[in-house]
Amino acid sequence: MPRPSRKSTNSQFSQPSTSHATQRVSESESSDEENNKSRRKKSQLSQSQIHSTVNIELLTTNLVKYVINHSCNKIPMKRADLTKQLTIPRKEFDEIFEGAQEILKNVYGLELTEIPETKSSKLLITYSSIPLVTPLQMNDEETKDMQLLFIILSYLFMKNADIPEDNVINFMNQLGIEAEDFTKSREIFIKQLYLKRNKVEIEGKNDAYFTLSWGERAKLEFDKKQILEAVAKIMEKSPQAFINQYHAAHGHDPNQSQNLTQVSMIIDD
Amino acid sequence: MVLDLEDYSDIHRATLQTVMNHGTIEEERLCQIFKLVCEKFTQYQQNDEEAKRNLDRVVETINEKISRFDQTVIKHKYGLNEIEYYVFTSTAKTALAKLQNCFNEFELEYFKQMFTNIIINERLCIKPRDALNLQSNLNGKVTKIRAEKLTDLWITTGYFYRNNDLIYLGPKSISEFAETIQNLGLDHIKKCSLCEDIAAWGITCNSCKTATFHKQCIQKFLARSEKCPSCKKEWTQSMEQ
Repeated sequence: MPRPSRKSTNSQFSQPSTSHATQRVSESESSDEENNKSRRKKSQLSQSQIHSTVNIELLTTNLVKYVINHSCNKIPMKRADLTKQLTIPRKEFDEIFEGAQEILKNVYGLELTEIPETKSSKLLITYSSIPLVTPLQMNDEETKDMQLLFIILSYLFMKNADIPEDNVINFMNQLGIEAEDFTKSREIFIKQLYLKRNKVEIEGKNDAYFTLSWGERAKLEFDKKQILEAVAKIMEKSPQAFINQYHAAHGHDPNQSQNLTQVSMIIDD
Repeated sequence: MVLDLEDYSDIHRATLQTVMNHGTIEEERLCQIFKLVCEKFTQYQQNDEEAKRNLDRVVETINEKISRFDQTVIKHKYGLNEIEYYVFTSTAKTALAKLQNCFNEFELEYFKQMFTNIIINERLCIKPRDALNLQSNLNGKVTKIRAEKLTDLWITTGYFYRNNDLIYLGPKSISEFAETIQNLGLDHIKKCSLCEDIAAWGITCNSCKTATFHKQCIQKFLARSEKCPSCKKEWTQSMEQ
């Protein structure tokens, strides 16, 4: 959301002044001198405990605001960025994070979750924890994006593996979607973690190629059962006719015994 | 069967998400969605009139929950088309509020320039071509294509409003930046003499030529009296301006 009335300074961020004073209490371990001071202060523990509660509450509120401001375009947040920008002490991160998770879920119906990016860095995304009742709840642009995404994800799911990107582009062409438009949307979907693009290199061949698969966000937001049901309906077949997809949607290995399938079918009925 | 709205529930959450997704949404449209949401979560069916009343109650409860995060859902009757909107606004004044990832600093600057050029215009509008040309002030940091896309986006989210091929100040800008706009002290932006809020495209009394009102405010007043609330002379101004 634009904030035109104030100067646009997302690069020149300055922390709200209220959090500075209490910050020191929790960060004091970093320096020896400060450490000694805090030891001397042990007699005033109750005072610092009060500070620390206030601090945690304030930081939790700030984290909720931050997450809401950074959720509108679905680009993941970097955990390292927000801990730095909100000056969240490492020691208290879990408590603050859990507090914010609870508020986001209770008030906004949003799930805040961590997704590992690399071994050391983590990404944060939010997605709705309540079912979408009608597409009217989304804005027009999002509706258009979701329609295209649903087709792509369904295609990938029915093909049952990482699919060479060229195949997806060909499929899109058949639907009258230009390669250029697809590429533009694909870039956004990858950034939003709906799609994952992998480079495949074959030994002895010069040309590497790319495959597409479901991204982490897609796995959280889309129900494979619903996709299978939708596709089966279009094909005028029963979802069970697609045996591999049926097993994948219902979360077990297709090579396992037939009995399990029947059991799960009964449960699902 | 009654609709239980006492406890904060998925009805509230779905309504809040809808307003947030849209930024600005017509009351009628939100009301239709609200009816579907209530039916899905509680099997409760209601007519439009009841839904509107319930929706107002739900929004009130939502506001109690989100005010501590400097947010509020405002019901705004837009002066240009007399349509009621629900607007999701941020009331924050801290640096934290500026932290967002939707627009970069140049795009925000483009918004600021559009906003400024609209606000200094008597009719609070700008020609689309003039708006697009503001992009040239940004040394190519915002391309023409991007500027067009941003304008469309700011129109759908209600910051601006397109009518008769002009771009006007939208319901979201008027609600979210009300204080800023008032503080600018521009002569052509009048306050409603009855409710004190900004009366953009308001109606001015024919006799005193100074008192300005929201159409709905003066209509309500004139139902009881036929005189201008300010100069006490007979009201002669037409409601269609």
